[in-house]
Amino acid sequence: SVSQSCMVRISSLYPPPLALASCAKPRDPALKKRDDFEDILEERRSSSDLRYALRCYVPVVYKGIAPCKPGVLKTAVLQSDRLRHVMSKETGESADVIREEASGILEEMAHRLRLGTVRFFAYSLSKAFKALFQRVRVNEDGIQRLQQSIQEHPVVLLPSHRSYMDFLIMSYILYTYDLSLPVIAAGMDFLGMKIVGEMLRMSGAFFIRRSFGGDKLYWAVFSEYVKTMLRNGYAPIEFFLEGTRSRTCKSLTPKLGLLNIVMEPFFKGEVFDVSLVPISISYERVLEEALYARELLGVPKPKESTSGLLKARKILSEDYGSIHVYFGHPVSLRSLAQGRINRSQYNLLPRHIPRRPSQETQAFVNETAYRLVRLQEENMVLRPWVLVAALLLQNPDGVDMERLVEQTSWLRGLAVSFGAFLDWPDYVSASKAVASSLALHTGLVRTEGGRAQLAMEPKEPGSPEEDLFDRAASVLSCASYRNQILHVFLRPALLGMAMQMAEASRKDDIYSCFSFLRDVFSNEFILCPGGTVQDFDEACYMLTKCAAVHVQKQEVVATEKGQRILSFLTSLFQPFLKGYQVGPAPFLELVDYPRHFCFLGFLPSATSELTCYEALSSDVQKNALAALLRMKVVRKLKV
Amino acid sequence: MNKCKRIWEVMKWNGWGYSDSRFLFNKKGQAEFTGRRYRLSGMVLPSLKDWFESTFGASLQHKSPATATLNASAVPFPSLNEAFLQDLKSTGIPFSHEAEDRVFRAHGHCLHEIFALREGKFGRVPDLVVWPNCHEDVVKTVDLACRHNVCLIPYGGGTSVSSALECPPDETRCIVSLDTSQMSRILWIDEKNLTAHVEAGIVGQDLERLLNESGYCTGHEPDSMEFSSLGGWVATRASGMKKNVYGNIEDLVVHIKMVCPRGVVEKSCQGPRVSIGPDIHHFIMGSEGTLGVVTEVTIKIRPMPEYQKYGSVVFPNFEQGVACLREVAKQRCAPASIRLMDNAQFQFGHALKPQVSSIFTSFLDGLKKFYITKFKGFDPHHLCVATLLFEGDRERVLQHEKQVYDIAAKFGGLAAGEDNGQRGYMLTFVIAYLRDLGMDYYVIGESFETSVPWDRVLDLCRNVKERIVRECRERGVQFPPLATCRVTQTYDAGACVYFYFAFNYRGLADPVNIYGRVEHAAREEILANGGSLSHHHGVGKLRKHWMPESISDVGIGMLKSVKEYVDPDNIFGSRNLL
Repeated sequence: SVSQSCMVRISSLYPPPLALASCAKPRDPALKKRDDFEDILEERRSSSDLRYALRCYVPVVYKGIAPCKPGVLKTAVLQSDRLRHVMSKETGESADVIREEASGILEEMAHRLRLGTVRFFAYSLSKAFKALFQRVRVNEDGIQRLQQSIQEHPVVLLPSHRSYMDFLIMSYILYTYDLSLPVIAAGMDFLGMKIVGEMLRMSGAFFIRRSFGGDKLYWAVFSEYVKTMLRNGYAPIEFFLEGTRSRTCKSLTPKLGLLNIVMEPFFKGEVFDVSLVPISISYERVLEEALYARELLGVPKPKESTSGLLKARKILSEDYGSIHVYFGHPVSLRSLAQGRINRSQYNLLPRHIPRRPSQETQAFVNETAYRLVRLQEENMVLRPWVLVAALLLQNPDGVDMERLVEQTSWLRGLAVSFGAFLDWPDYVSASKAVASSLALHTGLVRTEGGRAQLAMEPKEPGSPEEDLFDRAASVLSCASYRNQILHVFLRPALLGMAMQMAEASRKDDIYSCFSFLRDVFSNEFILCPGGTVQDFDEACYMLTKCAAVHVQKQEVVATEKGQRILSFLTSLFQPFLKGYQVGPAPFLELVDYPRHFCFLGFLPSATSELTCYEALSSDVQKNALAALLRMKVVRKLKV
Repeated sequence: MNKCKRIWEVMKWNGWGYSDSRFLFNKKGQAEFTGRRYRLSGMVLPSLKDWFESTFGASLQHKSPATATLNASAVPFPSLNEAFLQDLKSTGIPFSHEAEDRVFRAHGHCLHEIFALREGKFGRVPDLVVWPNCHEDVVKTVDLACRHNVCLIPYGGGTSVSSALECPPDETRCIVSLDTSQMSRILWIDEKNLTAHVEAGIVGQDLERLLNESGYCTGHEPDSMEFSSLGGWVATRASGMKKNVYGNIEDLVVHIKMVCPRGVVEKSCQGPRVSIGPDIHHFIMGSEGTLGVVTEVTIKIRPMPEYQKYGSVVFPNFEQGVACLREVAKQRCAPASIRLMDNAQFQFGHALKPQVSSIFTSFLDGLKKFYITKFKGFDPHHLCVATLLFEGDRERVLQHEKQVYDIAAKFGGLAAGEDNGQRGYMLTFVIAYLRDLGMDYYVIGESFETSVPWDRVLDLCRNVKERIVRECRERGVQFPPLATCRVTQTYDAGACVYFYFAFNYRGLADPVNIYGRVEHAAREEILANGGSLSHHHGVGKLRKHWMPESISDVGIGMLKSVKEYVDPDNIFGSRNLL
């Protein structure tokens, strides 16, 4: 009864979200039906790019509204109640000065979408894509759903972000399918690229400063600009929930600023609904592959510059495989908010006066953001290579080809049963899949004498530091592929680790370890705050389904058969555990030392030895530090 | 001149209004309005059938007729409080427990109420009907009810659309319907102060007619004024079409007398405005029969207007129309009435055009249409119409008219003639009859209303209509619904919006239930968009679910404490409002 009351307490702490609670019984991920893909380059290879770029382009639009001229949009923003309110509030300066300033901000920010530029891109990207990629595959059913949505409600496009190519590809696809071109929120850094920045602006990009903390006027202009476009449905609005390109190829925890902005018109009744469309763009090889590993090891990101871009032309000579773009089902904001958001809370304040969102709203926006990123993850297409990469990383000393093939085949079964979206048709045998994977990534793997091994030896020996750097760089490159599949295994793996950590089979203990681990890794992976019970149930369900554990009323027990699965799962996440085991840095002070942290090996004075190259990743370090600070285990010292 | 107690002999027992007036499709398939009471009576409406069939996907082949006669044996047997009955007899106040009398007073005009009657189904009905003849009779009746613990439900004109007249099904006491229809005299007219003292049972059309005979009017014209009563207006906080000139009921009443279980409540003077604590009239107005019976009211009167003129303006779209109404309100120059119909309602109004008598009129109509759509470039699927009514002395009306048309012109509005305006207002009186026609052909519908700040009007209209369409689709309604609205009143700080919602229910097992859910969703949408729970229909039992969120828990407590003091034994047990 103790355990029962404990479970009751836990579940009462986490009220089941209404809309999703219907899946009280976890759904079977493997049963998910997904659309088929079409290769849009196929036609490009057989017909004129010029004609394609100059063809008649008549997109369907929202409620038949013609897109508005940038000038009209600008005036609408400057004359909006919101801006007038800000102007009347800002004291000290005259309204004219502020209006000037607002106008300047808009000038810097606003897109100047022009069909001519779009046609130029359509032409040149056709050429570039054909040189770079074997295929650009798109799910046409998703395109059709999007076309429907665009006509009904304002649409927000939310692609995953792995590469600079992402938004070019998005616009290219929408142009190809005669859909309204999106306006895209981009970072100001692009404006550093002389002509290119302006070209992007003319193809629909608008530019936001990376940080504008307390600048109320900037915030007002920016949010009003986005909301005006959304309210009037002039064009789909596109931005990256992750905020920046993920250098590790696993999804980044979502940023909420823009999502808040695009939701507000719905909360305030200015639009009937908003369609949020998660889009998953998966690359067989990311263009920035080598750059990312170096960046993670501390080499600063090269500044965006036109000359840099021109130098990057050499990548045109390489083969980057296929791109898959999956347009997910449009999510109705109205349906999500049903029963969650009380819209009448906006009744008592004029709607143009900004106000901090209520706690329930913040929680809702946060949860929605996580849910959308998870939808992106779910529809990421995975190539067999990511399985191979995962296995190779677990065998740093190399593995027999035969064994690798067997393991890959086994892992494929497990991944599919956990719902992975694997691009591995049945007629391709495991040995063939492994062989072709290794062939495409010769830079990362060495195959010799029937064995495969990560290519760690530097091509030309240098200083020990340089060698270490090179080795770490290849591990991180390889890890970026393995990372693509982590979301599939994350929940069962956390359960596996929790079982190991609890050292007993009592469900309550395991749950509390699970909850702890989830908390620790919530900067690292997409784990929605408040979703612990659901995740735990989902993990139990998945591991029960593959007969790895046996879940009883009060106990969770590993089965004999489950050992292989559990040990694979725990070692898959081992690098992260290791990464979080770094000793406290000189600028940190240990303030608390909860029991659970023993397991992770956080020792007050431990000078941890480097056992894992991945621990060198600045991303892991950043996340670990954030987690420790968040959990109040350490405190920053003023140095 | 007392009204007939057997009112169901001239009025429908299972539909709206007079028995002799109804819409039907004649043998040629043309719509016709029977009887001789209305301007439209006896006329043929050639385009109604096409509009009806195309709007609802309905067909004249698919009929859903009502039960023809009231089957008295299906009406629950009255459970009478003998002691009460005994004492009542000794007072000489007339009463009845005939099935027809009781059924007639067991309902208002909500869709579910009428639908059940058409199917010949009866829920809990009053056990007894009493007809007090004057204030003193009411005092005696209430006194007896208290002594014998009998539940009283006041009944005026029976036009409620809030389930206010429905008997609580679990009420075990004897339920007595207190029908005020015999209390319909004008007791005096005070020409110095321009007030009239009137018994509360008088219905609107009688009140106006009688006052008109002396050269006066109240100017209070709710759409239901043919049947609704003065007491009912007070009890529900009614609003009249011409409130811009005459005010709503709260502006019109000078003095109210109400009989409560605790005694009679009234003020001691008729000062035009007082500062003597919270206004007790505001406990009475909107109390919806939960505190007592309004018996007598002193109401403001005005000399009859010298001149009346209808008018109309066509706008290219609804947005422009609303902007114009807002400007008119801002300049405080609204005519007696100004209403803006959306496009769907404009088309609906068009379908009600009677057969034109001469080729010349039809030619003129064609010319007008050509001018507006082709010459002025208005899209017939977006344009909308405002109807206007001006009142006052001739010169000022003409001046006023010019002012309003000038404002309209700034918003792209074109004057569209008196005729269109007048037809718009006629529509309000026949619309309820039209619902009965729809119900003969599988179409059910109703209206509901709200009030909303100006800046929210457009958003609310769009969102509520869209919500209705979406809810219908999600609930399996096979045909797209009619969801249309009009702005019917303007205020300094906002407007009243009126919605019509109807759909074809063929293929649905439980249409009334689905109708109720969609209406519920529409109300949620209204509240979420800054609209009020009601502008003038009241709360009743239909909307009381939202009362706490509308007036806060403390507000509910305030109302409850008044109820507790005034009526501790819940004699007025209609259970409206709270």
